[in-house]
Amino acid sequence: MAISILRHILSFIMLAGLQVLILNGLDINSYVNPQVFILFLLLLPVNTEIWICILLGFITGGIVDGLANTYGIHAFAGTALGYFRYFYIKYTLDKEEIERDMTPNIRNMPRSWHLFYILISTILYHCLVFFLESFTFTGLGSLTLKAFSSGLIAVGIMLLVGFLFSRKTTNV
Amino acid sequence: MRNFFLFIQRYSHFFLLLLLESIAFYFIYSFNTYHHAVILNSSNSANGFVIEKRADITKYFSLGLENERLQLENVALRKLVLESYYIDKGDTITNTDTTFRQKFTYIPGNVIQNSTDLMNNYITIDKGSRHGIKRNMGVIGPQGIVGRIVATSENFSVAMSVLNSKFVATPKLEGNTSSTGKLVWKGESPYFAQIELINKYNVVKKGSTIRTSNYSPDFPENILIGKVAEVKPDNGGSFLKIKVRLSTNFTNLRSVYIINNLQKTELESLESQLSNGN
Repeated sequence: MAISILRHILSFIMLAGLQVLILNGLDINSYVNPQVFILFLLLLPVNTEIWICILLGFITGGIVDGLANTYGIHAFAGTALGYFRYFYIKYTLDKEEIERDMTPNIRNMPRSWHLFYILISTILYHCLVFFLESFTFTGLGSLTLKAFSSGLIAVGIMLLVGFLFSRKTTNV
Repeated sequence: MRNFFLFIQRYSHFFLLLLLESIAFYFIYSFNTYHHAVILNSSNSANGFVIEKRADITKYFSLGLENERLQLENVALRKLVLESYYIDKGDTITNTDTTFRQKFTYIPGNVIQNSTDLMNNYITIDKGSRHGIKRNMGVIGPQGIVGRIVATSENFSVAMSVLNSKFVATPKLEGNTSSTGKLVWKGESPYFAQIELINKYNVVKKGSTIRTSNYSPDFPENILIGKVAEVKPDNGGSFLKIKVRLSTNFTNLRSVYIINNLQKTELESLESQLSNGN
């Protein structure tokens, strides 16, 4: 248990570092702004309590906010993502699957389920972040385009990270 | 009550979500100046709509009082009108009609476009040649001198304001009627202008009032220009450098008066006789 918590904290530090030190510094253009650190939230064990999901979403979002000088935006979207993630898992997985203490990573889950899970959550998250950043309804089309392009790039990076670092949970 | 607690307990995660989201939103609101401005703006425009509608309705309630107030003002103004006086010269009583002849008439106008941050600033006024406005007429505002008309169309006219490098007026210093200088603006600040060509042997006190002289046919005498803000000797020259704080605030100019000098054509024809005749 303690080791698994330590592993999650370590993964958060790595992902936040990747996000803040590398991806936020790329500045390619406004259509390429992927937020990858949410992979930490997405890969929490499937049986995590809902209040832990929400609280962790708030905390991790807040930390990234502090590092990226976007006070409140990631905290807001992260909290929403924690809430959304819990219900997505609850309604798409069987009870027995949820009770197994495992992370919903690419090796534990069916590929298609994992892909949809990451895709929908990421697009949702990016829509929220981009909307909060611009904070207006004007230019909704280009905003959606930005959210989708960044979201898709983020999904690509997340899948890559998943292939490289995740392993099958053995203690079933 | 038990049901209420059950309700809270059952949806505790939802309340946690609301709590955290409102904290995050508070952060967004208070730490990002952009979001702060957007939220304030939209709430202000909504407020403004309500306040405007309320004012539209409530102004009818005070119409009686407002009428009374305007009547009082009219009485006070009527007291100042020349017709209310007669001139007592020794033992002969003269009718005002023959002693005073009107020299200036005023055309009221509103500023519809204005700039203060350029080198040559112009003001657009919503009255034009149809209302009797001609080129070179002077423009004054409630606070003092404003500018001079440079172009007119049928319904609009454009005036160069004092804040224009081509604007020139002849000022008169307080208590120093003999020396006139030249009021110019050099484009530094919309609140200050300079007076040139005042001989350095004149004593100019800081804070003394500056008004228009009677030399210019475009402005009546004693229109307020401003106050002396700074006096410096011109290095090596024989003139003073005087900085004037303009009495007119050009940044929020609204209503102006265009001055029509009834004697100007007579004056000009006389002057042209002089230059053409000999």
